[in-house]
Amino acid sequence: MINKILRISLLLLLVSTKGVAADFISDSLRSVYAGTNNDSIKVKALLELAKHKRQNLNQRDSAIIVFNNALLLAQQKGLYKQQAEVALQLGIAYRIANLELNKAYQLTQNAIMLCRQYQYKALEADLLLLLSNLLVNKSDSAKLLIEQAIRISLQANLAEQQINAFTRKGEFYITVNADSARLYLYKALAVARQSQLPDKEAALLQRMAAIYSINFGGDSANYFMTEAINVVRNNNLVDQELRLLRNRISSETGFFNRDSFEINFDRILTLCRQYKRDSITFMLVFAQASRDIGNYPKSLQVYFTALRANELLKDTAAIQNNLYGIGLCYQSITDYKKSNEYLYEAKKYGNKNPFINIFVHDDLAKNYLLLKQPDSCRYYAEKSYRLAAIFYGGEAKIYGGVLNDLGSIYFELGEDSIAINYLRRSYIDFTKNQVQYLNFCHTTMSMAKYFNKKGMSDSTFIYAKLCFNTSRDKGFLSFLSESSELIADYYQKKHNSDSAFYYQQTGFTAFKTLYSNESTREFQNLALAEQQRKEELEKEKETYKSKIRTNILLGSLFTLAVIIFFLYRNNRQKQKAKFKIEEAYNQLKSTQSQLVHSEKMASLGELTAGIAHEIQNPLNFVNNFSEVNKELLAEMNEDILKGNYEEVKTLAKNVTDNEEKIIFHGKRADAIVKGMLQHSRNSNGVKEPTDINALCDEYLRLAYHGLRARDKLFNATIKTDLDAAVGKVPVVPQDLGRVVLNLITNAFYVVDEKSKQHLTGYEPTVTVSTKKINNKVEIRVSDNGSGIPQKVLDKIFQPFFTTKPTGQGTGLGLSLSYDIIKAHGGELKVETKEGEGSTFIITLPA
Amino acid sequence: MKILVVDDEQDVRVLFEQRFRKEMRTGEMEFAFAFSGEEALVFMEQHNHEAVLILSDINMPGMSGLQLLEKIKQHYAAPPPIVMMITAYGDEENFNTAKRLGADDFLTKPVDFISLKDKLKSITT
Repeated sequence: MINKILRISLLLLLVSTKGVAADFISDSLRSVYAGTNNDSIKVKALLELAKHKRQNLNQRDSAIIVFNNALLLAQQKGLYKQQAEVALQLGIAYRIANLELNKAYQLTQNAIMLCRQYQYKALEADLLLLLSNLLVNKSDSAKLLIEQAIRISLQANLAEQQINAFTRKGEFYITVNADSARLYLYKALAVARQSQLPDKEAALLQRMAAIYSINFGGDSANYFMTEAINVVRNNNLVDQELRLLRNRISSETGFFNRDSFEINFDRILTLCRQYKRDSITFMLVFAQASRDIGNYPKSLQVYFTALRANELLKDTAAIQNNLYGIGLCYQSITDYKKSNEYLYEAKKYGNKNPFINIFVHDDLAKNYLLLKQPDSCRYYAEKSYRLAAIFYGGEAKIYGGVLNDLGSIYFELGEDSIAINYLRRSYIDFTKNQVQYLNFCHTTMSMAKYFNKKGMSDSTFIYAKLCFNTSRDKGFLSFLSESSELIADYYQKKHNSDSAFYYQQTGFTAFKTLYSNESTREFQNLALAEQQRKEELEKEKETYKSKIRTNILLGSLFTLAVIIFFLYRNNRQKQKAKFKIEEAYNQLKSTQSQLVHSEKMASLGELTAGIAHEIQNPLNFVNNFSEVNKELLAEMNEDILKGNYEEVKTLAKNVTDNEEKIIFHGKRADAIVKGMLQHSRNSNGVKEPTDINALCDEYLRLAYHGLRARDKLFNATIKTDLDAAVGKVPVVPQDLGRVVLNLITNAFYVVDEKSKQHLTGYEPTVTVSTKKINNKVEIRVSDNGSGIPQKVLDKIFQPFFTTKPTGQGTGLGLSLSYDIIKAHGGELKVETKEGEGSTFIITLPA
Repeated sequence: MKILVVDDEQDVRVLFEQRFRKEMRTGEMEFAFAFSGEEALVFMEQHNHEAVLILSDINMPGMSGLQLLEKIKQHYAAPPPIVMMITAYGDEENFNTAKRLGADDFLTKPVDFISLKDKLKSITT
């Protein structure tokens, strides 16, 4: 007997400890049930088995059956207390499953009568709360029941029941009166602290955070979450801490905190390692959040790690979720084809994960929209809606997160009435139920866009502002940048230029951060790492081959076997290598478009400082000569009065000359601004007759002043030798300008590097010359830097190759230049001598 | 006293001639112009180190204004000419370097000609 009681308490301990194999617990409980004659132990075993099953979504039905068996047994054997206990748990099970609520109500009421009869105070309080919970729509009766529970728990001094009852009362007020809700939760919190129940305390703190986050009290919500985490951490409640941290790193919850989410993820990984918990689900949550805040490289990296783990575990629902996540990453970096590949992979798993399946279809629709294939888009959008209707049990119950996605798709398809219907339903869902920040931003932004299209500017403003506030608090940069733009437009129209400027700036900053060099560089590093691995693999292959050759020389049967073995290995290695190469290639491809963009922005950055200086000078002249003219004209008037006409003539000539200067410098500033716009504009690829000498001269000055503005100590002698016979040549001026700028900037960079060595007599010099040779035009950019070492000479035109320190070059300048010159039917060559300098030669057909 | 203006922008000459036309007409001030640091040094050589006040731009191709300043203050020791630096970038780094190299004043573009005139007058008279 004692033995058995020991055994079951041990088991109960196991049940409360997660991480023990579920099957093991069920089997053990069954064997306890079968191996005992003690009815009380039998009921207890059944009760625990059912509770265990209740935790699992798929086993709720069988949990209810086991509960009923336990109830029957307790009833038959007259075990009243256990009967009430089982009734309580069964009632909870019905409530969770939202099934047979009337039956649950009856059951609970009977159990309460039983408790009153035998003075089971704690159970009675629990049952009263359950009963109030079962009365979904009858709030007055529910309130009375809660009051009763509070009274009993206070009388009998039952801490846990007091906490539950106050919490329940607080929750009762959540939607009606947030202040009252907080008051009762504070009461519950006080009891939990007094009775030293840290798990309850943490749960209450989280509840408080939830209330504040619903009411947009971001800072208070943050505070309570941090407190909750501190409490569980100090009390070593590992699983509860993991659950809290999970909320903290999930961009779908109101508890998401951008500042701490990487630290929190690290903490999760440490806890998982230390206490042997499964970390994969957390990885998926983290990857999703990284994606939502625009850190795509991090997101992809974590997704791929999780995918490998899930494949090993053969967890199909998780794999589907994983593939979907990767698809979304590629969607975010605008590689829609790649995104579709992963979404189709995810779609293969069908309803393994029915929730994800809805979104797989939804995002396929989105991609087809962006790929401009409206028919496919419509097909998947409709399918997604149908899947959602089935999943949520009816069209009216479809979740707002699905509706807003579909709404914005139909908006883009031009089906405005469907779009606004979906969006409104989604907005209502999010304001009525718990706020999900990311989705809320999505919905409000889409609605703002809709009203903007309809020309309803006040509605546009209201929804854009809702989106702006939330996205700013939560750090959702893409929504922040989009909403700022609409708000700035609104203020612009209202002629409130200060506010317009503020929002424009905020939006631009968000945009810049989102597409900062940082994240593209990380992509680039990822791609490079893959390439390096590829090269190592190839080296490995070489080693295997040479081994094979040696073995053939030995010619023995044994070596033949070895050969076969190595061939087999080699083959496998090849296949692996092939896979990795493909992976690397694909990653390279997807980053390329981003990098091309960032190279353009970088060269624009090099230009802006130069441009500022270049504009400053002509503007000074315009201002100065205008002032001088004013003085001269005043003098002229005096001289006219005096009749001093000789002097008047001289002054008039001076004024005319100055006017010409003003016009000249005005035009000069104008040309600089035009040139800048031309550079930042997308190249239209149209060739037009262009004055090559003027182009070289312009970019030479811009590059020089750009560097000078950024590095005060930089200095170099510029020499030009421009052949007037070159004249106008048909080129795409923006493109050729970019090449010339790139070559000159490189030249300045190398001479500057060499001058930092302080060699005596060294004069950093960059020469730009043009020459007409037969029917060709040659542009030479020479430097007297250190020259290019022979071993890197054949790599300099390759993409991503750079000798500059990390962060200073994209490694795309020369490669792009090479492509541009090729596209002009020309050639880009380099002549170099180590220690003496290099000359880049562009040859173009005239 | 001659005032030597050093700037790579050719129109600076015209501008100064107009702005100081009265002072030039009365002979109160005498201006010479150089369009690069190198040219300025040649001018100093040719005019046998006669007392001059130098107004130099910093940002010029080839020898920069700061390099010119350094050379002048090193080689023309007795008595060193007064050198005022002019730059479009009124940043601290330029300012400190100029001070360290012995610049007597530091002006930022756009130049306020009225206060410049006062300054030059107080020095030359």
